[in-house]
Amino acid sequence: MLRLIFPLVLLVFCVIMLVYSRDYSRDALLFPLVVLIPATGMLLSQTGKEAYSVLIKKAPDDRVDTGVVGEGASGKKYLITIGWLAIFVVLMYLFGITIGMPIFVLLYLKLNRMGWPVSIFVTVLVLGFFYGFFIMFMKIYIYKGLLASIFFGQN
Amino acid sequence: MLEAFVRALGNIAQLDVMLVMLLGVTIGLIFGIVPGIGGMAGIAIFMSFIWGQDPILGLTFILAIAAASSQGGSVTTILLNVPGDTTNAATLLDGYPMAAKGQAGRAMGIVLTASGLGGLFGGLVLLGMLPVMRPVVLAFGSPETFMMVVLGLTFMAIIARESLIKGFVAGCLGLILAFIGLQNVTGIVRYDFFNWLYLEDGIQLIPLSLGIFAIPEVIEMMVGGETFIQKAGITIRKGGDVLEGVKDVFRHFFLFIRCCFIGTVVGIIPGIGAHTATFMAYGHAKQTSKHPEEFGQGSVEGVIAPESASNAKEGGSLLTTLGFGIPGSSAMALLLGAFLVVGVQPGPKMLVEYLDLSIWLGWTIIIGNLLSSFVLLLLARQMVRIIFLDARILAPVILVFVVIGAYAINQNFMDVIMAFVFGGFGFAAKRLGYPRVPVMLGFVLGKLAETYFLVSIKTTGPFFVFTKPICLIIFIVILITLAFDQRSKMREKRKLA
Repeated sequence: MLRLIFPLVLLVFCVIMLVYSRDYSRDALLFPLVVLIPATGMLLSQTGKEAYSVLIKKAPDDRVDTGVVGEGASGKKYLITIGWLAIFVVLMYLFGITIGMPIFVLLYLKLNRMGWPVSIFVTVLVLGFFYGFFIMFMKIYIYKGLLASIFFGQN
Repeated sequence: MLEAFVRALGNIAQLDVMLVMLLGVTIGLIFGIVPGIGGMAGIAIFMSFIWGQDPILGLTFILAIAAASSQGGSVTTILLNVPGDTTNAATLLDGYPMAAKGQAGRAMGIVLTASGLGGLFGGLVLLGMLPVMRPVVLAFGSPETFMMVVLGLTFMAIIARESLIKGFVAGCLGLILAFIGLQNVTGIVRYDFFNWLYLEDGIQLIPLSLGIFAIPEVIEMMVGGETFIQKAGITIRKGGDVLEGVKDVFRHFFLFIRCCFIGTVVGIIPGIGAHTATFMAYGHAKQTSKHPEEFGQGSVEGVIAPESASNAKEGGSLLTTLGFGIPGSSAMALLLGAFLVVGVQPGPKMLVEYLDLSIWLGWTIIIGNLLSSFVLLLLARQMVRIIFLDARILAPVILVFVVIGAYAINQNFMDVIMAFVFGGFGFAAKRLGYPRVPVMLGFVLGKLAETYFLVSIKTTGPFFVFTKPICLIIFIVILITLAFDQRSKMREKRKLA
């Protein structure tokens, strides 16, 4: 089904861009139209082709260019992985990068059956590198998270 | 011009530059060795590290990663029978049989010499061609430059072997993403979706590149779990004399030169891909060999040919990247992005406005390849053990690098979220056979293409493609390319049927 949904989403995106273009001046509009119109046409054709293949011929999902790692993995494994990524983003969004990142690394390692010593060692190593290189050396201002901005007025 | 070559060589031989290059080479080798990640993800992840740095050092670092990554894959091919990526597939045919015969050291000697000297060959061709290319580039105005961008996108689109439409869709998407934000020509903000402030500056390059090249690889790694390759049943082959392998390359020196030439020419033609160069060289070696029956059984010539072509190709690829702004390979498409990160506008004016930098990059290709061979000569057997590292450890660590990379430049958390959004896109594109490189290329060249397009329309009229001779030639080349691509696909289909 992904092979049908993907071009469909891209098609919707192109149509929205086309609609959004209608008020622009000639110079601002010309080149986007030169690209958007054929892109929409190609996506329409691709979506039609995939719809025919998925809905009428009921062909199995294409799996192209999977590489070595994870080859043959089930859809459930992919969903779990995407869930992990979502947890990572949410943790950082709520608690900030400095806190969210080590929590994620520790959680991920521990829940994937790594021992405590290795999990703690890797987490400390990652945090150490992050703090040393990015905060101390590059002096980057780090996002402190939504909760910090609510409770301590920091951002 | 000669003075500029010597000056660049003098500057490159400084301690800080060499250290940066060594770091880039080491990272490139590691990413090349770990299967399923590859040099592209390495470049994407470390691109944010060069922001705010000296452009020369930054680009040296990125190019060193690109130069070393393919050599890393060759090592695992020979020692473990595991190709790093498709580029190394031709080396597998004779490299591992050599190792299995107890000549792993000899095969390594061949790989290190052929690829190191192959890089030298490609780099020298690049440096030799720069003065010749310059007047050609100077003859190009806006219409010709615009057509070169279209040609580049066409070449990249045909990378999608499965479907040309998918390739073009990917290229168009890159261009469309580049439209978001402030337009250079009119100064108005476009496609900011209900005045969303974040989009006023446009989509950011680093989150996009991390999303489409690094996150899909991390997802695959996380799904794979545990080790990349099961350790059981795989032995790191030993035996053989490395020096003997070095001598082998010189014993077959004319084969080496011919294969370097094949690699460089294939590299100059964008969109063909490194695996084509290596298999062409392998086929040539077999055809011209006195002992074709030994191919596939551990033939020395069968290892020299793909390795010399593979690294000579990078010099050729860089030539079209610098000369016309058309990347000759996927890594070069990302290099164009790295130009933007350090504030250098990529495109056909590179040889005019940044000649010294172009020469510097030529030397970087040469020294990066030689350095990479040297590092592998010393540490190949130790480095190859990375493959047995637990993916459960490596995946979150790389993910942290991705997040920091996305965040560091603008220090805006929205960039991190966007990296993951593009990661979802990249992952779906990868699984469904939509090539990701044209997206990057379209995005990097999008604003430039639009400016040239509008200037061409204003100065030459809407039919500039047909009124300018060079434009017409490029247009015909595009048509011929597409026709050949379709013909080869039809042949493949017929063969399969």
